[in-house]
Amino acid sequence: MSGLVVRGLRRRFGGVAAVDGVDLDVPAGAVTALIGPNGAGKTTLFHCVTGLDAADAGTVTLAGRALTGPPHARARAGLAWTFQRIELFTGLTVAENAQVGAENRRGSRSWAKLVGLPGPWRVEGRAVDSVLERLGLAALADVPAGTLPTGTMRLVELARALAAEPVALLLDEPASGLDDHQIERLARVLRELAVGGLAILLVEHDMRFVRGVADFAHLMIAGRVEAAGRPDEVLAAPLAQEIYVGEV
Amino acid sequence: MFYAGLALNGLAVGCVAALAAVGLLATYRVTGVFNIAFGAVAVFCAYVMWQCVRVWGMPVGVAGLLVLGVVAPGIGLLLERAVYRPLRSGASGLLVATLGVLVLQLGLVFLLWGGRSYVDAPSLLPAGDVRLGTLHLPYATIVELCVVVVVAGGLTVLLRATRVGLMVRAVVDDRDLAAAVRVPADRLAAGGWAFGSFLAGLAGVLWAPIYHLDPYSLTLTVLETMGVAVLARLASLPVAVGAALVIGVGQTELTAVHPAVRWQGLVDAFHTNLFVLVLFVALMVLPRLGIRDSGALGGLHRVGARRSRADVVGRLPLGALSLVLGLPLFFDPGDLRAALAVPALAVVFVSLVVATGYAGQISLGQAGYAGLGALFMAKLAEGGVPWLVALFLGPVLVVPVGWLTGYPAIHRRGLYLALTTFATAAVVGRFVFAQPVFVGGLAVMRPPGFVDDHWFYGLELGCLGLALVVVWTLHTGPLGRALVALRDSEAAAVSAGIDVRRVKVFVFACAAGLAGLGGALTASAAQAFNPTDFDPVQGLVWFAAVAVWGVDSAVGAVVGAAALVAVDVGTVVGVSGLLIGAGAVLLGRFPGGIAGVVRRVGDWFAVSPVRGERRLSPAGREVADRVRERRA
Repeated sequence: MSGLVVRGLRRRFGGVAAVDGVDLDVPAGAVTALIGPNGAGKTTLFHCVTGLDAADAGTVTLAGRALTGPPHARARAGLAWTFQRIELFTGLTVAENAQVGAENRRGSRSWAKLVGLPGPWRVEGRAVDSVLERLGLAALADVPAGTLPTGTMRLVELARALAAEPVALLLDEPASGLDDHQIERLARVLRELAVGGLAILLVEHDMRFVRGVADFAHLMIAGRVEAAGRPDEVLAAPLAQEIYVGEV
Repeated sequence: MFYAGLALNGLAVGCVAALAAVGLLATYRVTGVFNIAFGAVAVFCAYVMWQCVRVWGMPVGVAGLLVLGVVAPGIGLLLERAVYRPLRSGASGLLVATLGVLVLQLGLVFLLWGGRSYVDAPSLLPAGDVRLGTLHLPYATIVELCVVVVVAGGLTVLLRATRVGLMVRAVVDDRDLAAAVRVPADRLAAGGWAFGSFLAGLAGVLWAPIYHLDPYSLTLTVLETMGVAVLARLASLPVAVGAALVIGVGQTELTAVHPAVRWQGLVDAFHTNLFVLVLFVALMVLPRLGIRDSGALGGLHRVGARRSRADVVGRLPLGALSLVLGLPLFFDPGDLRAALAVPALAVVFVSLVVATGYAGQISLGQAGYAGLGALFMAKLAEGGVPWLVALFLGPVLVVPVGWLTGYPAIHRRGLYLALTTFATAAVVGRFVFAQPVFVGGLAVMRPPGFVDDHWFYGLELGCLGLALVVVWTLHTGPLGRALVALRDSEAAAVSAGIDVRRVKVFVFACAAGLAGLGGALTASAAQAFNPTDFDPVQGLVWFAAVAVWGVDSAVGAVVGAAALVAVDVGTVVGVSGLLIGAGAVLLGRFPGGIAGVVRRVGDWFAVSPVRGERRLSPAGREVADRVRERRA
């Protein structure tokens, strides 16, 4: 299967099973949301998939190939992700942030390139331009990323992830800190990307955003996926009603 | 074989080490700052004690009371008020500030006492000993042991079981938060610093009669006991005391080991340097040393500062720089001879810009790599390699050393990385540069054709140019961006597919090679290998100097090297230390150093169609653009 597939993933911290045998499908061409209360194990799952944390058991495959090794190797294999707490290269401009993402993707390891010799990799510049254009950041291309407001920083993070032209994109609460206008734009971009064949997994607390953008939703509670399906169905389940009372 | 007599001697050594380690840890526990300047405070107090007794003729008891009761706590209070309190929001800038205090105090010692060594440091403790059968236990050891036990025990009880202890821990954890719930944070912090400085003074006054009163070696000796604090994971006072005593006893027991003659030198090196070895091994081997060192790099960089490529070798800086650096060729012979130190030091400084400025990896160990560059060059030439080839091949051989030592270091961050790199330099200094087997009878000559000072200065400038080309390569293009990415956010760099470990080791190795070239030039200029040129404490001074001039500015590093040499030549000894130390202490207030200030001024005058637009937020700038379009 194309996209991201997680099977039997487990991670224990002492006596607590933070992720307890999770199966998760993030199909290509769709937006999948992972929802659940705080402490459900969403971020741990996220870390096990990206390699930031080592799973005790289970497998992760990306486009049919096993995803293993350290995080940077997984990034090169076509997995891109953003962080709950914004992580940016504040000393670089917006365009350079995206360029770092583009330069270190799959099949781009060349010493000649690393030391800055000219070559056929100019194509990356065009990829960066189109990503910035798509996210409405073109006007800010030469602005130092560290001087931007929070919402715009989130978009720069997304630009960096997209510039690597990933197979699957993992977003940890991408809508937090964004204003309504930016959320709308983000939703539109995510829909477009999904239509373009990208597999997108987002961890999100904003249920309005999830309803608007996601094709599938998985409800995670105490380390297990308790419900999965269309967002409306999952959010209508009694468990979800209990957690998100008043929000759904 | 265990010798009781030796063990008692070792106990004496262990006691003073324990005292220093307990002092370091106690300061850390009550202030939240790992005070690298501890050794310098100790040395300063020891010199004041010497001055009071030997020059002014005070009775030892009165002098001791004055130094330990007034001077030492006074230094602590002064530092807290002037240096640490302004930096209290977060730990940012603290490491550089403590380094600044160290350099400042050493500068003061050099200025006031000319850096002279004295062997007649007065002893506070009574002479004589207690007889235990055939063994003699000096009174001094008994007193020291009591002091250590009382301080370690008392502090443990105070912190764990009293209300004051709870408040102190709250202040260490988050000073502003503690103040918000009416904990007298300022007073407690001031008390903590006064107490920490008192312990430093006590360690200095007790150590000076045992070792020589010497600014560098005594500072280094005290710094080396950091190994004990690291073994105790900067937490457990009893573990620190136990470890210090065991190492002290182990050190003296080693004097009874007599292996084959050819190994004797090595065993001797061990028995005088067990503490530094423990520091090195503990830092290399101990896994996951957790410490509150977030933002240890704070103040070194301007947050959100735009990376200025023009800075490396931009037209204007390069033109001005070439002009200034070319001037010494027209100096009289004496001044030209002094100026020979500038390009060599500039290459070492530039290596720091690469490691710390671009990649964000603190390196306090460049002195070690610089010395190795000089040593390898001399050894290669001894083996028949032409001097000119050796000058470049020696530093190349330092690259794998940087690679090897950088590999364990890359797992560390902030303070622990700083300590690890410092320990590397200390081990190289003690086990290589101080060993006659490696440096005895070593001849250093200039390459044929470059023996004349003018020609050699030209060669040095060529080497500096080469170093700047390396820096330019590392600063621009994908690799340059990857380095800044690594500095700004390791997590994000990993997510972008950057192999963080490989890049870090690569940078370490490059920086080591550059430092090696600087060291080889230094030795060639002096036509001698002087171990003091590559003293680990010297590495700390270099780091502070580069930080002050702007750690991410290669031009700043070159200008800084020239300024340092000029001040050293043009004024009395100690002034450069005072200036660098004061600059480093103030670095928290002007992030990015002098280069940062210059860039800010440049930003102010930068081309801007609408006056003051630079100060607008990006959104504001967008609006300004739209307004302009409409007007047009």
